[in-house]
Amino acid sequence: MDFLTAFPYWAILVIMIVNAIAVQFMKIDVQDEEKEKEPTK
Amino acid sequence: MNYLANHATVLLCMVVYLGLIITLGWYLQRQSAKTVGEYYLANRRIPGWVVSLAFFSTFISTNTYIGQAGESFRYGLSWTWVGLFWAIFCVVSWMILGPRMRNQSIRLKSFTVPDYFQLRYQSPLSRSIRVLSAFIILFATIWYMTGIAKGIAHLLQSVLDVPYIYGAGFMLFFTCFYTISGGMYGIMWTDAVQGILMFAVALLMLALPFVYVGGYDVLMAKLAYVDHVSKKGTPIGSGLVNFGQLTSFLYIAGIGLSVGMKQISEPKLLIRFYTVKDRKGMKFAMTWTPIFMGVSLVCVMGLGALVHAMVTTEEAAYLVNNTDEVVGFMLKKFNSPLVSGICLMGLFAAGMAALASVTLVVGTTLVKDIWNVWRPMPVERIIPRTKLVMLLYCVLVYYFTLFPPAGVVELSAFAGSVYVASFLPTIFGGLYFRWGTDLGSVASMVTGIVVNIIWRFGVRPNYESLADVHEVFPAFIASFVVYIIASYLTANRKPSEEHLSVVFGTEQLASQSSG
Repeated sequence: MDFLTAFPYWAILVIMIVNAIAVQFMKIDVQDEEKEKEPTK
Repeated sequence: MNYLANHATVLLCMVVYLGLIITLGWYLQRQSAKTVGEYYLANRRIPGWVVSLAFFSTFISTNTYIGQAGESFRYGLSWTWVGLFWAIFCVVSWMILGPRMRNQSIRLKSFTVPDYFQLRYQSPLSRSIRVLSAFIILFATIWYMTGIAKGIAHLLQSVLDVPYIYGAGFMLFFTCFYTISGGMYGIMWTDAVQGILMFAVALLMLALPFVYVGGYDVLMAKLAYVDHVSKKGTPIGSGLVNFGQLTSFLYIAGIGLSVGMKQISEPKLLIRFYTVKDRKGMKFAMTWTPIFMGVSLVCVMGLGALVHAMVTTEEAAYLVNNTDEVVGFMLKKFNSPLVSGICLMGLFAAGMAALASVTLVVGTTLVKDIWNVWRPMPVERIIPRTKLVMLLYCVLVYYFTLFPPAGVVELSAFAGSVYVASFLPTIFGGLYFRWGTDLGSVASMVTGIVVNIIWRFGVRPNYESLADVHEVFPAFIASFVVYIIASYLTANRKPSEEHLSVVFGTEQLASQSSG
């Protein structure tokens, strides 16, 4: 198997790992539903 | 009697699986569907791990496990590049859209993607945006659902000798039945269970060609050079393991982008963000969804290429022209009723999870975004009417499944391209650009769908040099450019600052800093 054919297999694994690490360091802002605003008219 | 004896194990697996789904659906149905908010969005109280598995199982449908896996029989292991594009957009989807979409949908009290458009672009024209987007959803969804039902029908035909028309009908109407029963709450939990099963089956299916031929080294040696022929009749030779010999990278990128970008533009997936319960759940889903997705894609995207090591030259000549049948053929060739039964459960799960989600989106879109906008109805009629239109839409899809206009991969990619080109600028602009306007949104949607259709039916079939350029490229570029230009030219139609403060949550920041 040549390099470019094998590349996506490794790249997918690297993406999964890098993403998992990045998310641990991210500040994620998720609003509670209790604080929700009235809809605008 | 002979039939039962020959298929006893596979049928038993199917009965167990369908029994599990019915039981789960019945149990969940008792806990949901009291109000429109519960039926449509499960009251935004779904744990992160459930949303993560549901997102995975909804996106990775039979179009992937049967269609894309089979496609690599024709194009070799290079086809895994398509999976790489998908993995990238899975990360982008959760990173860029997930938290922001959930927060804005809460602030705007949005239940569906079309009503998000109306609420976000607030103007006299925004109701038209909602209805237009609803019609686009209905148009694109037909091809997507047809692709899924077609894939499963072929599989049932290969493994259980069920005639195509019965297999397609059973798949569509069984899924429709439990979607109608459970609403969003039922679908999310059922999807999660199906996601676990699909994940396991992806690993199992990858193992089959290796076990069949006697190990990794033997398999790779067989794939290194095969005496099979391609669809064009030319020898495949070493094309299965060498990049770009059997198809162009442009074609791979077209399918990769048009389907992969659905994760940042397709309502059945975006609506998942609405349902996440809390910050912890969001973080879990952002971490694990790409892992579920990535591992499964590594397993299935090149699976068809591996099947070359299991088939004769004559069988390969047939399969290269009928790639939707490759996975079913592989199971038949492996000749283990238990393995076939387990795989069939996973493949059924893949089809049902995607069909159920998209059926609910169609129902909510037709009733809340078209029917209720055209002629407002009492709230107690919304759920029964949603159930009715879901059933009718499934009948329509069944018709197209009996007379499919293309293969699974092409159908799915065309639907994806319509979503990407029509919705992505409006969604992304709505979430990030305060300067986006209603006219920018309408113009980009119309441009997206028109360019899609012209390129698909007018340009690709008639200009050989452009045949590999998927419609997603021109359609997406055109719609995004039109969104920017039209928004710039109609800057006076921008929603009020007060409204935008609510949309972007900036009034909270202002009050916090002043406090």
